[in-house]
Amino acid sequence: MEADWGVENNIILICEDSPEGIFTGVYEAYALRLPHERIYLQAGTQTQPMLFADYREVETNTEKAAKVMRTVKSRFLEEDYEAIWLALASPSTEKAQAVYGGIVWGLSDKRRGSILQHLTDGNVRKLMELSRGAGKELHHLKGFLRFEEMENGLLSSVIRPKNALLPMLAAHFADRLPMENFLIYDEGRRHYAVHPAGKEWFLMQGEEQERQPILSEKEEYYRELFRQFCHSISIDERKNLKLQRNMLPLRFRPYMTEFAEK
Amino acid sequence: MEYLTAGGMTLIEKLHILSDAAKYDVACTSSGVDRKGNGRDMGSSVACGICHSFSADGRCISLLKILMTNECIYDCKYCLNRRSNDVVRATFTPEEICELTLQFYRRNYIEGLFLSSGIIQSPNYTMELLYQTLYLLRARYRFRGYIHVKAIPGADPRLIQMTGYLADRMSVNLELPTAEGLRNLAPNKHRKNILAPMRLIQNGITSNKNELALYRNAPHFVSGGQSTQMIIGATPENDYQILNVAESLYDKFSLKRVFYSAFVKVNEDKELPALPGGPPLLREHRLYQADWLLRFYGFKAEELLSEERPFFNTMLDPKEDWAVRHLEQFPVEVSRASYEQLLRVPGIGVRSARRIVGARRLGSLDFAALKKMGVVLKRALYFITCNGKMMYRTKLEEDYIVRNLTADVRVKTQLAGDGMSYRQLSLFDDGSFFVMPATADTDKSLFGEL
Repeated sequence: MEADWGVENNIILICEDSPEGIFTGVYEAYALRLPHERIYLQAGTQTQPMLFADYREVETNTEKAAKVMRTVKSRFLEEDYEAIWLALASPSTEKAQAVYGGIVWGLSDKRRGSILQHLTDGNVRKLMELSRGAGKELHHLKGFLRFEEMENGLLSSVIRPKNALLPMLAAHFADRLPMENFLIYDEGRRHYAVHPAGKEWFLMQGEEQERQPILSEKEEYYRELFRQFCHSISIDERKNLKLQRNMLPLRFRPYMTEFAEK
Repeated sequence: MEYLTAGGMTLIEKLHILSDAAKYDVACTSSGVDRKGNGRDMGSSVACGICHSFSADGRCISLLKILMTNECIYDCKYCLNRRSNDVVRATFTPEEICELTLQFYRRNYIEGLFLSSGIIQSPNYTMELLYQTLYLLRARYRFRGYIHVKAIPGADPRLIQMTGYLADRMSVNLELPTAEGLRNLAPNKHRKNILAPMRLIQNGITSNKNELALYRNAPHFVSGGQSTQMIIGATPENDYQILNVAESLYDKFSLKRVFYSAFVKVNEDKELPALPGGPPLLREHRLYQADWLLRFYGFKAEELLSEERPFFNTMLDPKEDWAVRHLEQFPVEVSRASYEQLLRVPGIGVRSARRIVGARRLGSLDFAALKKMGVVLKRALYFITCNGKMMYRTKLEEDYIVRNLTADVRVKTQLAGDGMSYRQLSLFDDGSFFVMPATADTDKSLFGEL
């Protein structure tokens, strides 16, 4: 490994596709003590190899990641901190580089106010795009997510978001429904968020159980009430399905009570 | 499964009747009320609001929007529930409303409750029912979600005040833009009675702000502010009059929001206009655009319209229309113009203007950089320069710019002729000019403060 790193070669750090992995990557990038322009961070597996670049795998290290996280939390504005977390939720492979670039800007003494204002920088622009995309989907899902009540009173929900939004959604609903037992399942990533009434929520990984869930006795009744409501609240004279589709993209609908097949 | 309620009607039938009757009311949860959960009771509120679904007309469903009752002692000509109409009547009990609200809320169907009502027996009796419902929701069920309730004109001020302490937003419907229109179409309602509770709520909010400044834990009174709504196109007012009414409501009554509702003809009445082209949706859309210009862009009503030009242009939005008539103020230099000047450029909104102001401190901006930042140049390019240069060789001429700005619309509407003319909006939209409202305002209401 200690072979000759060509002076002019760029270094590409390949980190695990997780917040810890990427934060560790940022730590290692700083540890290299090279000009930031010569380092590129990549999340997940290596795709198209570049010429004149050295690839290095970064091993995820919780301690190193925590150090970076602490720095970001204490030195950055709250909105920037949030933007970084949202960008990390994105499925894009460019997020690692965007977050790295954002952190470099955030720690530089050229920064004035929010890093997101420095839009002439490509990395910051990417960071903003990614975080805005994830933020938009998060906002959508806060509204479009539907719970159904199980026999034992548990509220259960299935989602399939493009971004990994489960922690943010769980936090939102834990704040809103503190005394409910609820469960949100991210179908695409096979992650669960579990919230026991009155307690802290937590994440779990795993396949959905095979057994047919039993709905509570009144569930169908409230569904029907809501379907009825959505139907009668619409004004026929103003019917505009295109506008409806713009505002509520079709990909959300299979998981929504009012659009699902009975 | 039948759940019969008092009066032999199922809850589902009641919900059908009373949500159908409430559908013409407009409300939005983006009221700026930010209330975190308290770790014990159900509910929270988010400043920018959350849309939970969208109905087939493309409007957002965020609140359980219902009437307490569709019984009414009044006989307003435009209203489906007027006394003289033979429609099925229903009334919710406060308990039923609580059940619906709480059960819908925990399934994340809704963001809260929007409660309006026909006038049953008397304004006081009705207001009391509304108060009871809210009291039950807040005190017994400890519901902390968003509540928007109507104040009933003519009800006892004390009732309205007590209700205000339980609601996030209150609204009194202005119904029609002018007192004369009201006299013609709503003979039982008087302008004075509508403005009185509006003033009452305004004063309540002001004095509550002072209380809260003194005592942090003082109870909140209508913390989401007050809104109102008027029907557009049922009476012959022009856009200039309507916009002036809106402006004075914002200035004199400190309203948070004025909603415009395109008139949908549900009754046959000789006093009501015929609307062969359907509800005047484009007109409503233009009013919302202008409303935004009043509230967020620093425009005044008389800048946008005048006695001589009392209607909005069908082809151009109000800002474009203003800009092409004030070409002496353009082009605006992106690297130097003030934030206020940038806001007045067609195609540049609050978000773009902020981005420009932030980014130009760090380096010069050219058109490519603007594009990358997400500033849409399609319309703005006629009005701005970057480092002294226009994007293309464009002429700063009214006809030229109008022709280019309206090119899309003209193709869509297959407008024959020289292409130079652009017509003013007639009182009732001409069918051939019918363009569906864009999603711009709904979009903004999603992400903006309001």
